[in-house]
Amino acid sequence: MSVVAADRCSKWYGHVLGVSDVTWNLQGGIVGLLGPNGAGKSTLIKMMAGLLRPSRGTLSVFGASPFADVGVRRRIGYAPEHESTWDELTARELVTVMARLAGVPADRAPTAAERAIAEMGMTDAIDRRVKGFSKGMRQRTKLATAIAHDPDFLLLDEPLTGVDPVARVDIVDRIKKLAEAGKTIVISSHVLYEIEALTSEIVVIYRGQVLAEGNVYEIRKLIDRHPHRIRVECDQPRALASVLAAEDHVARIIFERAGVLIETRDPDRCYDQLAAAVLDKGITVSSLSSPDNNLGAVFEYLTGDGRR
Amino acid sequence: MSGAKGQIHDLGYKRYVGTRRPPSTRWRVIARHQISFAWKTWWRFKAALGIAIIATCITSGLMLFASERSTSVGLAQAIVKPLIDSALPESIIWFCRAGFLVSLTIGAGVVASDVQSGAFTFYFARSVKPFHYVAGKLVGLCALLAIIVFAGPMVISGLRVGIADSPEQLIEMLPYLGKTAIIGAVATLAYAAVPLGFSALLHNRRHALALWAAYYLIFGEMMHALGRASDSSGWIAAIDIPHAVQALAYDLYDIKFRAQRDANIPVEAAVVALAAHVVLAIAIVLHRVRAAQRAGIGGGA
Amino acid sequence: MKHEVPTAAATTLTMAALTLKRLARGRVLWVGAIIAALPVMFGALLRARRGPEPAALGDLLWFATLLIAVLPGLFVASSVGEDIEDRTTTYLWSRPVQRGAIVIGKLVAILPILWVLVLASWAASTQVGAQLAPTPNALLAVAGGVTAAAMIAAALATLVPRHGLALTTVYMLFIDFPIGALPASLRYISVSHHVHTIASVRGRAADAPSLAAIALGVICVVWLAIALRRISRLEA
Repeated sequence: MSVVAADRCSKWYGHVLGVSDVTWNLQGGIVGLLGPNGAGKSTLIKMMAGLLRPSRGTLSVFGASPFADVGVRRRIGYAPEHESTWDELTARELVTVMARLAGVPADRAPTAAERAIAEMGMTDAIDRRVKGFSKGMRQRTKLATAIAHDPDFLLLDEPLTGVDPVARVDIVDRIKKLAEAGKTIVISSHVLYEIEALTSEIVVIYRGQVLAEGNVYEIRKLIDRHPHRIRVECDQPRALASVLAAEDHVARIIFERAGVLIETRDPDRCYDQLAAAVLDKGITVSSLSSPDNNLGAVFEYLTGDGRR
Repeated sequence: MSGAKGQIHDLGYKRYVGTRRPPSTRWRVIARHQISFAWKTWWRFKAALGIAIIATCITSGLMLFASERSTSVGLAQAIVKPLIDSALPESIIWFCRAGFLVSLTIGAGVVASDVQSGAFTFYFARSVKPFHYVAGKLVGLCALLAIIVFAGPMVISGLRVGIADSPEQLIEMLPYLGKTAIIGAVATLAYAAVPLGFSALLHNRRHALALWAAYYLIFGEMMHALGRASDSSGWIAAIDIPHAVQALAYDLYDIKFRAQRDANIPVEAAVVALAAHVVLAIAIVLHRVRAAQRAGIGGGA
Repeated sequence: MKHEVPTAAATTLTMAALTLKRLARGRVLWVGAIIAALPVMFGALLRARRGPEPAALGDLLWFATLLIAVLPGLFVASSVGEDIEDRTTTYLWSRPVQRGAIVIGKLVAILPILWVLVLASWAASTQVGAQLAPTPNALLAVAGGVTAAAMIAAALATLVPRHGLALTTVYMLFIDFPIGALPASLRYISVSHHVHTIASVRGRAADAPSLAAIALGVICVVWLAIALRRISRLEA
């Protein structure tokens, strides 16, 4: 049986589209849900967690509707993307309450909470109130609430947001261990390398639709072929353009009011040559920016918007 | 990129080079935001506006109805004339109720909401000073409340002047407009500043709101009941904001009779109590906002 | 081994314990206690001004009714509305629990606190202001009124989470109180009317107290049903 089966599933918030016509089957393992902000990742995760009802189509988890069927939710562990918790509670109290509400018997809930907190490396802060926690500690506590009842299916909505690099590596390792223990995990992020560190299986979601699913390396190649734009505002745009026009990685040069827009297939080389050209020609650069330094631009390219 | 070693390259941020408004006008932006925020949903402000419009229509209707019968003679005139005169002061209490409604949905949560949501970061990370913030919030609230407790009575008072029987009476009635403007302005200030003061007392919006509701409804009513129970003086009853506003209205309109349920509040007491409320509230807001800004509460530096 | 789905009773108790813990650590209890102390202060002040003449019970009951308009909103509407507004409901609703049990759990924790605050305030204010022990009828009336207002607050908080407290106060002041004063059968939907009828402090009431108690019970059930229906359909 599929862990998740979505059939032409759509969700609207009034006139705003959250998810559109998604058909997707998840058999198991660890899957990264990748997409820019507002793409519909959280909506899809919330539907899988039973927090939202599809407006059209069906979505089932372990063969049952997570919104209508209370029973299936005991097999789901969900860590939301927001930071709000009951700040008055300690980590131990919060995780214990969540374990109890997930069906762990009262006598076993404290032990389950301690184990989950230890798995997330939070034992030192177990009796501290959540109010004083840093972002990283909050993320770990959220993850502990999600795993305390030993669910089969974990939904982690942007669990690495706001976490420092050291803690990020640690959390990634812990999530990998959960996957090795046989859990099915869906993890969302808008940062490609975060997902790459966890899994090679990704689902790219953009504007509410599943754009691509499969191996991350293939999608990565597609992203690398995407021409990268660099906008340079300078006093001698024509001199700069004449140097770069001969380079094979430069696909196009567009003259603008205060400079040039360069489209390149090799951004690293292009930046090096730009620096050299500026020094050689004595060009004064007033600004240098890239409109493509975000995942949204890549998704636009994948959907074809950026190629038109 | 310009060639100088060790220079931090500009990767896209461009300094705004257009004209800038002087910092002293920042409060206007805050006030405008306050007004647009209130207007967004129907029950935040529009429900109270609806009550004010109903009160205006009913009072105006009553005055028009009575004025058509004021040409009759004898006993009828003796009854009708005071009815026309008392319609406006009696209606003030309804405008106060609508003002209280606005204070519940907007006013009493303003500062606490900003602290709770971290909006202070946005205000005080810019060149906004606590004074600008308080002035903006107060002006925004005053503008909203003026639509209710100032404009409504002014419409009724304009009608009162308009239905004068003769040009002489019309001239005689003209000061009515000025008196109504004074009452409306005082009520506007009281219903804007005092809830704002409560909103700064606690950092939780809901707690601040409950405390304001309890102060206005229970404490105010208590003081009014105590004033009514005392034969000697109604000074203590002036602490009750709506009755203080009504006492001011009675005095300015020179209405002699009062309902039995009302305490006899001297006009000086009403003025002093309302002024004290407003001054104290503004002082509290300024003090708390300054303290919060210094402490970095709400994320501000 | 997979755990069983928690029973409604277990969920209710867990939520009640969680709510109590949060109340005990927050400021809301203090704010509530300060508000509940106001009628007692009134009783004392009135007695000090009037001398030996006892304060009218009717006046004191009016202040107890005002407490009913404010305190349930503060406790219930805040607790229910805050979870929805702050999205902490996502933790609760993603668990295998009936959403109704979550609201009932909160009510189970909050109602006894409200009863203690309002009944203590009523008892102390009658004792201080009128030097009378509160009658069982009046105590029942006040407790019933608080319960009904708590249900109203829960329903309004599920409808408009951000402004549950304000709307509860506005409902009581602008709808419930005026309807209760009407000499028409519409007053049977008014909590304040039934409170005054059951308390019977102003002599013989127009309606029978037993009928008022039943009507109060019906009001509680209707508003609770609205709250439960709404919460079961809400999306996070």
